[in-house]
Amino acid sequence: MEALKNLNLEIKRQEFLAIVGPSGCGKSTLLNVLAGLYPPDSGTIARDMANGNDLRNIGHISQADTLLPWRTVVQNVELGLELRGVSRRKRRSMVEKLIEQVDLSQFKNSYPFELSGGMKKRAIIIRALAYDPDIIFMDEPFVGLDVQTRDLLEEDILKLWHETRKTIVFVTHDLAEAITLADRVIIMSSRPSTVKSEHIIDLPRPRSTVAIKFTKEFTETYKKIWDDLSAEVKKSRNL
Amino acid sequence: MIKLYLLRAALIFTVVFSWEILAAGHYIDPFYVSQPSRILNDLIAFYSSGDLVKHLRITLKAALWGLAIGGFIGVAFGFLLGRIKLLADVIEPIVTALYGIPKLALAPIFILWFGVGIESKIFLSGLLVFYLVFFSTFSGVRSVDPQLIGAVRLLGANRVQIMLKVIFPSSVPWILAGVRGGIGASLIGAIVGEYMGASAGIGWMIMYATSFFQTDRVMSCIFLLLLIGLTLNILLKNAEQYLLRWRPKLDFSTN
Repeated sequence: MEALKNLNLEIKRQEFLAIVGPSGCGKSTLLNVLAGLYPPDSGTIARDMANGNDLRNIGHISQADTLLPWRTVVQNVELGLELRGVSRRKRRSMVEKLIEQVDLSQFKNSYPFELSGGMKKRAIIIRALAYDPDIIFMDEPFVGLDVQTRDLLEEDILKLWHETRKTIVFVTHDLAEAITLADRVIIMSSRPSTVKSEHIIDLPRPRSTVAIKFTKEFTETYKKIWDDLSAEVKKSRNL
Repeated sequence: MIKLYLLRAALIFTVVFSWEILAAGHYIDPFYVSQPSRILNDLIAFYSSGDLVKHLRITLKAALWGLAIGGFIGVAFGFLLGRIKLLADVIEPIVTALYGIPKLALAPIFILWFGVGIESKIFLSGLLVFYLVFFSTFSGVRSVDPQLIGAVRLLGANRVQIMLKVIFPSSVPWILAGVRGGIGASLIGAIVGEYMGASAGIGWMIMYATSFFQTDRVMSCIFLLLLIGLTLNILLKNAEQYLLRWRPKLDFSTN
């Protein structure tokens, strides 16, 4: 089955790009191809990343809980560094600050089963940041979390993005989330999907993920993009 | 908790005390079932003669070597077959078919092959342990969450690192479950091996004492086996509590 077709997309350094589309439109496929998990059947991907173009230079966050249950929070967060042969003492000090930034210091020696869903997610996010990849792919990372937790996590993501200036590609089916976070929103068409439209979000930064949703600019942007997206959602339902 | 221990102790005491009284009054015949006080006397005599330690050491040595060797090979095979699909497809049905043979029935032939020394006991004990640990490890390795493997690979892990940092730790609970069964099996292997042909050991002592109707000595030996099994299981339980501290505690107690 064809998931993607005639798709052309450019990702700029240090940008926060959100990819939105109806469920089942191949957003995850696109992300996995971009990340290099599997090659495209046809077409090419050109990468020009500061620290090399291999898989080791990307971060990937999915919706699954992928913390290793037998490792404590700090052991999980430093895993990427450990795999790269960084000494224990050095990696401990490297992740210390990240753990602090997402308020997990109190839980750094806890095992995942002792954490709430939101805390686990925070640990997963900083685990992907810890080894300093150039680009981080996030595949609907907040699915299944309650709204309050989600708001706070979005806040964390923005804070971390401001401080680290990583390129982030964020896949979601939630338009409001995309607008809240991103510089640029890509709307995907239904299968076989392609880029349907592109929207620059020039809402001021730093943004507050909750307050921004009450601004006039936000509503206007939302409405404009929604008309675009809803046509695709309807189409994919009729398939 | 304290209450539970007291009740348990009371129950054991009642049974042992009744046994003592009933045997003393010859309501049951101590010739066949012995008597707690006589067992205690026998244990003291058995110990002070130096025989207890000598026989116990031989049996324990056979059982522990069987546990170690059978356990190690079981874990190794479990990992190989669990990770290499072709190997599993070819070999696993054969291993399962051989599992169908009652292994204790093979004891006489092992004596023939390895002689009446400790080797035949280690072999029998190890074989029993191997099967338990192998099947458990094999299932464990196969049930590793593929999402965890995928996520750790994305963090930059190579094949060896995936093995050491994901598959092995994830299989530990399964390996421990195999070892728990293996403890009992290793003792059975050693004892039955000694029944078949030996010149020392607790199993040999049970056979010997039975043929001379020394039920006191037989009961002493059974009591020693009980203690060994209990000790090994307590050690394993402590090891489990440490190794599996990352798992939520399940509380099945009803009080």
